[in-house]
Amino acid sequence: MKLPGIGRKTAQRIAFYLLKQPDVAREMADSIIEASSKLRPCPVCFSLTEEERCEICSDPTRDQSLVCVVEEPADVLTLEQSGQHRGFYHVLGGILSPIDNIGPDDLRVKELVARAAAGVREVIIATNPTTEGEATAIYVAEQLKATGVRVTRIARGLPVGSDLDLADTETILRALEGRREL
Amino acid sequence: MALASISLRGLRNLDQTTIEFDRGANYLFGPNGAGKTNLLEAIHYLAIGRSFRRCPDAELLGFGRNVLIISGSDESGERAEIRFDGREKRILRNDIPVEKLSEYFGWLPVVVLLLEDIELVRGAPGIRRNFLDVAIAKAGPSRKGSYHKDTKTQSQDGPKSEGRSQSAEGRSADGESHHQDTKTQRGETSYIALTSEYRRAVSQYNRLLEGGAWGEGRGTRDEVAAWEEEVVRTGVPVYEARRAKLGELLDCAAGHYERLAGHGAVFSYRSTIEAKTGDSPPERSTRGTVPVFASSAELAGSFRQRLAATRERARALGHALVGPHRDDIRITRDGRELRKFGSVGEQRLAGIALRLAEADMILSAGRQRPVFLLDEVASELDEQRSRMVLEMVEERGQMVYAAARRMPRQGSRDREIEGSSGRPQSTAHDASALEHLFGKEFHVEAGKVSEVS
Ligand SMILES: [Zn+2]
Repeated sequence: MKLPGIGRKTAQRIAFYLLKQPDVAREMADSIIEASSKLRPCPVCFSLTEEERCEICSDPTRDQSLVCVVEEPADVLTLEQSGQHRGFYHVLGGILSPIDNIGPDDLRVKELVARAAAGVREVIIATNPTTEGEATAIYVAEQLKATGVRVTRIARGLPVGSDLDLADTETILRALEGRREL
Repeated sequence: MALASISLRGLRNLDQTTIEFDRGANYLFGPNGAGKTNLLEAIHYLAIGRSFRRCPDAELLGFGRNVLIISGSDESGERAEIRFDGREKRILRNDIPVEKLSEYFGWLPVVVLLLEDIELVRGAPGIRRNFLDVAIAKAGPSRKGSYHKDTKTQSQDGPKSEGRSQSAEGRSADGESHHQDTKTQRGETSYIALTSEYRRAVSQYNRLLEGGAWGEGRGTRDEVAAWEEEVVRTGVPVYEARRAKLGELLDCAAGHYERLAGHGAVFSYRSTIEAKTGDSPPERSTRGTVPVFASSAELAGSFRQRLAATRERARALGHALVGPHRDDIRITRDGRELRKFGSVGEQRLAGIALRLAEADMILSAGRQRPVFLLDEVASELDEQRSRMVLEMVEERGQMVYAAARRMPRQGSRDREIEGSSGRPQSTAHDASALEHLFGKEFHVEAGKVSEVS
């Protein structure tokens, strides 16, 4: 099994530490199982939550008319850490990739279109600037056309191949500020 | 910048050895299968990180050897090393590990001239596309970019030698070369990065087309349209980069061909997205021609429209039919394609002309003088032409020439005497030309390389 962000050396260090601390290991395992059994997609944005509706979607101070579209729940966390986005999110749950047999029906595009049609002012597409992320952005923008909502794409401030996941706050700020009309 | 020395261990049949090269001409001779070509492979591998015959790393590793180590340095002391243990390849530049091959690519510009270069002319279009992509990538950013800035520093402070004045790998006298290189390469998206992004988009699009699931929920009209748009988005910069370099490449090739063959030929870029062809009328038989688009928007528009127009056929065949990955270089003499109707001699000369043009691109981008790797090329040409080719090579860079028979030394001397009166171009290099022509000779036999004094 491979975990994102954990290289072989780190994994080894963790494994050796846990071997010496069986209690910690058991506790960790339990909480992972518990968390993963409780987590489910938020019915509004499809980010993960333990609640009925995620924290962001239930926050009345946030701008409901602004929806930021991302690939994965982890992208929500990254953007939240930067504190630059005051609107809602929409997690597609992937990106278009015919090579991996992923088409529009595998993504939550229809749900997005339905949301956009109900009182959204602007949709910001923040998929990664990879070929797949760009094609997805193009596709999503086309689907949103009929709703008449303003569709923007974050500026290409992130180098190709780098995931939104790893971007720092300033880069995110620049990407959000420099977004362009699609 | 010439390759000063190379050390080899574990390369095919070659014994462990270190070879010190002449900065001008180097002749390798010895029976076929003795290891001459392996030595050329080693230089290419060190320069670019892969074999020129596209041979997998594992096949370079000698039978029964555990590790392949090729290391070397250029005249300025820039060092590189590649190790391959049968599984992993490790590349070091000045002892610093290199993560991406694209960052390493081009530390030592290299141009090959092989017998099989005839395939550049008579082979499948893919061979020519690959040639032009590699040629553009090798040339790197043009001299207008930051590469050129340091040239002055270099030629003022560096030792006085002709080859050096051309070198400009962002190297300054204080030895900060490595940093500056990397910055330059990261500052703009390299051609290699552009083409690989485009290839990725095309393979996704092709997969969608070949999926066969069209109309079964997959490959809906909008999905296809999105991928077409992505193909256009990534393809336009590739076209623009090609357009910026191709005119020069094809012009140079046409000029070399005319000089070698004694008659002209048209070297043109044939684009599958159709555009007005450049302003060069066909009667000007030694011009390279490239399609002209008024703007990126026009280019994108034409590309988009051609993709749409060929969509049904692409769908039937399972792959995109238009775009930079389907274009070709066409070489014609009197309106007839050299590829199909040219003589073997003409095809060979056109192949050589393309290779020399590749070197011209490297030089005109303000990069260092390339190292030419020649394998038996001259043996298929008549005396006069083989002499011309060697001269043209020597004017442009360092030469490592492999042949079964020893080069007649007398021939070299004759060439020099004639050259002093009949070689107007080489003024700057004349001082060292004598040294170049004699250069060094190496005897290669049964895996052993020995310098002949
Ligand atoms: Zn939510």
